[in-house]
Amino acid sequence: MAIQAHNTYHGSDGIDAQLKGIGDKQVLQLSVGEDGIERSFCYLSDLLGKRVYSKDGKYMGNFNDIVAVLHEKRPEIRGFIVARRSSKLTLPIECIDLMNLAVLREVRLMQREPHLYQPSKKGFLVRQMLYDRQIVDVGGAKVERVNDIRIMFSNGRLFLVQVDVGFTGLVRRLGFERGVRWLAKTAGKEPKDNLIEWRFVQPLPETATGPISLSLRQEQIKQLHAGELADILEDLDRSERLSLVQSIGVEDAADVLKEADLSVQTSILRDLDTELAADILEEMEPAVAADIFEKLPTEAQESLLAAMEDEERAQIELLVQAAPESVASLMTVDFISCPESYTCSQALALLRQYADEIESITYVFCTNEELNLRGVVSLRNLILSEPSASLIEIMNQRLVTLGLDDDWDSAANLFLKLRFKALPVVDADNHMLGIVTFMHSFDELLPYYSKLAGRT
Amino acid sequence: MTENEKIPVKRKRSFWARISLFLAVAGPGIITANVDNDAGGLTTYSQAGAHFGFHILWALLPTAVLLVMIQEMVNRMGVATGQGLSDMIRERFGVKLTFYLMILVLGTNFGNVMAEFAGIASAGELFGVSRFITVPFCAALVWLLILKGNYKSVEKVFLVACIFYAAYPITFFLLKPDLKAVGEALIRPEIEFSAPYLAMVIGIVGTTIAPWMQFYQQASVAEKNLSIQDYGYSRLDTIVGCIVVNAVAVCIIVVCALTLHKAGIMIESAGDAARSLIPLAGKSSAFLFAFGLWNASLFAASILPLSTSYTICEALGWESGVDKDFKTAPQFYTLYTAIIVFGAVSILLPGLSLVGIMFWSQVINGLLLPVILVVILSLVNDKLLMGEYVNGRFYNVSCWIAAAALTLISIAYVLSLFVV
Repeated sequence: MAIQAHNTYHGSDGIDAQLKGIGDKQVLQLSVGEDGIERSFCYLSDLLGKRVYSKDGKYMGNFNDIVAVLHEKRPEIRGFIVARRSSKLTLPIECIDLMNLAVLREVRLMQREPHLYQPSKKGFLVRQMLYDRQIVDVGGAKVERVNDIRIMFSNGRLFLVQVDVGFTGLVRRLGFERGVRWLAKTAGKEPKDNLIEWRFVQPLPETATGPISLSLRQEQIKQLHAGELADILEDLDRSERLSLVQSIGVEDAADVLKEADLSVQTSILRDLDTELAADILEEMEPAVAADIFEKLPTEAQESLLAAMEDEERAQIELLVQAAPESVASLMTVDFISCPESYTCSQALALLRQYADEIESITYVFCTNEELNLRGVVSLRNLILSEPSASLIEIMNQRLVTLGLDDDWDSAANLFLKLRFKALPVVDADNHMLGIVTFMHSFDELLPYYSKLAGRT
Repeated sequence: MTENEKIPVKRKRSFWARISLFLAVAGPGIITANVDNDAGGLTTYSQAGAHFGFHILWALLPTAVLLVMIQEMVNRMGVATGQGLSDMIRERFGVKLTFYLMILVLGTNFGNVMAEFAGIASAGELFGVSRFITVPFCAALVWLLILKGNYKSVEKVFLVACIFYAAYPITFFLLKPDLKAVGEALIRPEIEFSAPYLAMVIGIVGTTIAPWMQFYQQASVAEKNLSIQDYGYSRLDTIVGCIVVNAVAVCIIVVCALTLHKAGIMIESAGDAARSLIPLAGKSSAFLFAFGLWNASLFAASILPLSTSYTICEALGWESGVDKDFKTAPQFYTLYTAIIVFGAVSILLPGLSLVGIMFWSQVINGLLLPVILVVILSLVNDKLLMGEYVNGRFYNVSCWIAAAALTLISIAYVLSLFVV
């Protein structure tokens, strides 16, 4: 959530610190919170580029970057980098006077011979990873560009607290903040800061340059709806997209991709590792997967098919080959069938086992030994019948079926007339091939429904 | 083959499969190149031929090579990274440099937008319609077309109307020029140290390789989500576009040299430039020229303000896109509207030379070009960004020489203003 803070810091721990210094350079403002802890704030841009001197006044280089380590709430700054020409020195943050860091013209080390700081695996370079880069604002579900980073000094330690994505951050970087604030004041307005709390910030390291893995804040990305994530995906660059898709796991990736634009879908599937792309396709509803699949170039299709499980491959091939506007293109093979000799309790056990994976569990399709479709039992009937009753006794044997080559018109006709939630699709020998559900075919069949409704 | 065979079969694509893939990938290069022959281009090439005859033809060959190289580089960056050019500039060079570069780009592109409206005004006046009617009307048309209409379908109309440029090659052959003389003029450089001549060279380079083209092409390539496997087709798209544009440019210069330069006519208005088409169209040449100029100007006027707004918003991290509303993308809409409104209004100020605007905006393009070229070179050679798709050494050497040559010509021009 982007906080429109009027120079007010609303700490997530309930501390409210008023900042002053409007019209003058934004520097360290001291404030005491309710818990009696002193806090002060400054921006990364206040620090970068400052000249750094050793304790005995020797010029060492310029303040180049800071090293932060991920913490529970917010990253803590542990080290900083001094750069002189092409050589870089990483020093622990304790060796400088933190209290007055922002107000000082230059940085002077307090230790005569400081040890070099060895960043841990969890450490990352703040400037390199965030400055001028794009991040996802998880609260507002938007992609933003980072202008500046707000740093808090508290209890002798430095933390990253917010990311500045607003106009004030931009003018501060350009060195116009004073002028702009003066202008705004003269015009009787106060420029608004647009700061994002660290807990809503999802960095997007590029796969090539990212010093740390993206997995650091996945739990936040997961709070977003698939649709929101798909919109974000469309705003990102290719490498950012890839790292995002790779980090959210196959199931979520399938949900998100489903919602994205076709060109985004195809480009991601082509750029991803073939195995992963195949897994994602398998996870999608077959009809959706087939739509994307058809738009991929031939080589990509071939390698994807080769990487897919047999069952899903057969289904995709079937769907891709299906004539447009035929039942085959509406069909899914996700359905539950069992031998007609099963008892109700056996059938219910089977349902329980597969209900997690299979979307349409309204009907159980009963087959004989030759796997011919013999009857249908609804979930309601199963629950209401005696557990020991066999399916043969309770199943409905007056079957209404569709063929693969039937057109959409006849499917719509049946749904409209019978109000079934799903219809079985069988071949010439009455073997069960799949089902068409009312819900998933709704968009495609809608024009037919309205046509049919108009006719009566 | 076993069932578990997981190695994909590499098949050679059939001829038609290649053609259809090319057509799917093509677009950004050819469209960019066609928009390149806008009001500024038409005017600059006409003037070059009319004022300097064959003596300036040589400038086109190196310019064409450089155009292909530059557009190929941004195209490669767009396909390899999926990022826009200003996005890459911001992440690589930080906010300060980006900001000042964007001011330059905004100023230069604004000059080009003015040139497009000047083209619209000139074309209208050839038809006998006052600029006070055509310019506001076309400005409103462009604004509405992009924000409320369906630009993608209109774009095809613009592209088809670009067939107008065929008028120049046809006239070229009607005039039966001495092909040997043309060929010689193309390859023999003649450099004249005078302000008008150097300005014309910079103008030719600037109109052929306008800075907006790099931003526009990379953005459209990135938006198309092309995969690096299709890169060959995308490169072909770029090269074809660039070559066609330069062939047309050669024809325009030769035609104007043979008609206007021979007759001693200096181009002071679009009507003068139109007379170069008399061998083809006779009395209707004014109408033919006016139609071509109008289409070219309107085409470019639809793309330039939009592309400029995208470029700047992307660099500074502002929301952009015609699918967003004013509340989510205020900077984008303000910029877009302001560029069109000020561009149109400035043309209506009294005492302006329309041809002057169309020409001098291209000279400014040429002055900015070396800066953009250096920026592109440092991005395209960044291994972290481009991986294996960085430039080869020959490529780099040629580009640096070009950048140095362009800088030298610009300096020579500035000096010549004081010396001569």
